[in-house]
Amino acid sequence: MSGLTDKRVAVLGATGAIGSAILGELHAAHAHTLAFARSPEKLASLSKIAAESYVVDLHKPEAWEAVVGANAPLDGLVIATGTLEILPFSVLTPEKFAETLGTNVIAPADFLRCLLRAKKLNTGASIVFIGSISGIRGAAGHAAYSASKSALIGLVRTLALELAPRNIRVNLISPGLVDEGMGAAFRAHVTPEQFAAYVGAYPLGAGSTADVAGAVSFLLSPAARWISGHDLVVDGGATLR
Amino acid sequence: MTTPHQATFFLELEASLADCPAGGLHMELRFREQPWWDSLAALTLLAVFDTTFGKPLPVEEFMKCETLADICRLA
Repeated sequence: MSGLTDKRVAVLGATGAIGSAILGELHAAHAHTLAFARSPEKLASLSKIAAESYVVDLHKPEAWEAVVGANAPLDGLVIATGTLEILPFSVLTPEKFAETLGTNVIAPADFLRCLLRAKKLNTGASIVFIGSISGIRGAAGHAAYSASKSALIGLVRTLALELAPRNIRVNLISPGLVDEGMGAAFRAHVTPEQFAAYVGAYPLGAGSTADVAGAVSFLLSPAARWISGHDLVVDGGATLR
Repeated sequence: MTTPHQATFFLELEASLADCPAGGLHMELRFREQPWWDSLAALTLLAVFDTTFGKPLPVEEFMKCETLADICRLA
């Protein structure tokens, strides 16, 4: 038993590689899944694992505020939205920097604040952000992305303290590179030799979205009821080196 | 003959590559043989190409290029 049966859990960024794997994991655990994403076409492809689907653009709060207001409170929320544009610092413009911080930190935080103000998170709810090991250690070309994921660590620790009196837990998963979604985008920017060298730095070999989804499911479950403000690194041991 | 876009590309690339000497870029330069060339320089070149010419430079095409003239022909 996962302890997630019939729990209302929303996944933001549900159509991404990691988001859809999380949605599938939660569906298999008999949770009542709510999928949020920008693309109606991609959302439609998740109909078998999403009990409810909502087309929302996190940069347009006027659209999702109505969705939040009309829905019953949640027991869990996974924020798997994000953007990764590999740009060396010397060519990182303020606009590109702000775009990444806006998408990866400010917009999802705004969504969460809306949920809290509308009293749409139940007592005992669990919130999980998807970060990255780029937020823990630097990577060439990742200045904006690393800064945004580092920001999530601070955000999660602060929210964990602020929401503990309401018995709401807030945690972060920091995955390593999985060869899907952003991982595939990363592969497109480097040579095959560079990609092989990068994957070779993982002591347990390459990971998958299922590895990340399993960790998210754990943090959402009652088994993690005494864990909050934690950054769970899921990277096959890569950051040990 | 260098076009205005190509001139912008050279200027922006030179400014963005920390170890590239001033005036060190020209069409026939075999960039992969330069002491300042590394993976970060490659990422920089791809980004500057994108912003200057308004389209991405596919990695597989980039891998076939030997000189900056080869790069500019893909613009």
